[in-house]
Amino acid sequence: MEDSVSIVGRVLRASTTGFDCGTRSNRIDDRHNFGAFVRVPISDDGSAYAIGLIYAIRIDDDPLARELVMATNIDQATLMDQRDNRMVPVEICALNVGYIYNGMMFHSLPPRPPLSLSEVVLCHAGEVYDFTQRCDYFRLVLQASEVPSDELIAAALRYASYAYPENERYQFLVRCGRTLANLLANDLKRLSHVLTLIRPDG
Amino acid sequence: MSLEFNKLVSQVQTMGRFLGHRDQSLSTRLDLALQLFYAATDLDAVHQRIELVRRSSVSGYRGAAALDEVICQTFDRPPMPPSGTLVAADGSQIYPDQHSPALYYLINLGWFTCYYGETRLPDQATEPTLYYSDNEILDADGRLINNITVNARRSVAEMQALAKQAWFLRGEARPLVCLHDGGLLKFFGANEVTDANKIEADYMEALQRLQDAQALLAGYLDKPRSTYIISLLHLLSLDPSQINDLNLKTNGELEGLADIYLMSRVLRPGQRSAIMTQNSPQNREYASRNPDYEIAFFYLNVSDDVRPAIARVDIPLWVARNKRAVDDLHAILMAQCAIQGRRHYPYALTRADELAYVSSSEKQQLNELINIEMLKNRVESEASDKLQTKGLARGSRRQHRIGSR
Repeated sequence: MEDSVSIVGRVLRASTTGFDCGTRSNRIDDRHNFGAFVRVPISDDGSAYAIGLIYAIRIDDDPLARELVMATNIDQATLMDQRDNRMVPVEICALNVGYIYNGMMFHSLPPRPPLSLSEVVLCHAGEVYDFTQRCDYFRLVLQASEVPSDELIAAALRYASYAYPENERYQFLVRCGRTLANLLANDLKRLSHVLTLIRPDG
Repeated sequence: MSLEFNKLVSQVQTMGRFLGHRDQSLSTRLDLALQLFYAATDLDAVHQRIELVRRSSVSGYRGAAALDEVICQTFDRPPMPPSGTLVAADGSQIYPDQHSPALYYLINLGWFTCYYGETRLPDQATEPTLYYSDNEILDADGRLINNITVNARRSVAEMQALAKQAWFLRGEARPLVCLHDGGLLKFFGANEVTDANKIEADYMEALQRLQDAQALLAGYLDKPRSTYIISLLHLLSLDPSQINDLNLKTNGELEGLADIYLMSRVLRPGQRSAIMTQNSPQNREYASRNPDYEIAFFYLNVSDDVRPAIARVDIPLWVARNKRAVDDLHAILMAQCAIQGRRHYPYALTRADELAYVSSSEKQQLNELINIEMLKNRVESEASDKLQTKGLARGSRRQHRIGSR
């Protein structure tokens, strides 16, 4: 069982390329940031985890919520009722970028998806640091369809940079920038955009 | 076979013309009703007329009876009480089905409580109850109980839930408003409802408990079709010599009008009508059990703009006699009806309904659970052929896709 503080949600649906998890709307906070690294168990014995990047956070409406939006003002009790009592789940979508197996990290799709209701947690700083020592997962992000891949890779790198000591952060971003320059060498507009997004002084 | 809309189009057009014509004809009658309404300023005269139909051999009058407010009076929205508690209860059901694998019915109650005067998370709860024993699902002749009986039992269960909550919340801020979805004057006909006497006794007991908890009980009816005030206006328009069952069988020149049309013209946003009671044997029966149980009503324009939204609010006399309680109820209902934007309906009732509602997929899941338990207990479980073949024919179709199984 994971520390409840780091639980992002529980898996609703999954495949080897990614998974969606759900949580209650009142629990949305900085654990659910776009570009955050999350992990979810893919084996019962805790030896294997899929690692994903949060690429979308969705909050569905319903007819009642739509009517409330039309009201002149919503009192605090109604707001609390909607957020705390009503079953309006927030869906968080993650793209698989790697997996952990017996403590080793791999930058490729996990061998199997997580099961429904598995706990999705934030990767702690040490895991993010270890995982981002290599840049092989970039290709998985840049080639992902139906994902804002440029913004996602930039957000993930900015997120990961905070797992590094301050004196290593600049070097980390420069190293990632060089890898991106290789991968996007045939699309300079795209490369320029991504580099702007991760520029250390930006 | 799906609905053949091409065969319906001309019928819908005819229906539209019919409704348009009816509206034009109602407009003339409404003008007459408004004249009679605004002329009814003498409360004593109205009381005398009501006494006449109550004391004479006339038995057919089912219209309104005035209490202590002039019937054409209107009351503006009062200020909100500084604090208060509102609990709304609603219920839904799965009716017994003789074609289902097992005979049962279900009543699911939902209640929602919110608190005024403090920022506090509203409370909510549901209570589903399964009924399956012979004495619950069969009548005295061993036949499966009908849906009307289930509805009656659900209504009583809703009132009992309100009574239970009122007692539970007795220490909370006052006023304590208990909101029921629908009218408070229930008719449990012995010919249609199994154990009607017991159901009625239980209902009365719940009323008693609500009164003991000093709750402001109210039944809320959206878009009511009642004609109580129209019938009263018709009665007032008659010469005393014309008052007989035959003339009271219809509303004469006002026939076809409902109170809602009148109130839409009379009540400005936020206003309520005078409080009246309905003159009916049923209400007399309530009053005979306890004078405080007689059901009164008022109409309320819950809209906050020019388009009226008329609701009828039923209250027992123990509430109706207390002007402060009526004001508090009036203000709280207006506040509730303002929450949902364009939909002028009490938010608490919407939430109680949401909590109580049993969807068809939930019904299906419950049936599967029951099936599993029956199998575990070696009871043969099989839906009737009728139900199963209906399911086959009504099932959705699947597309052919290359590579799909």
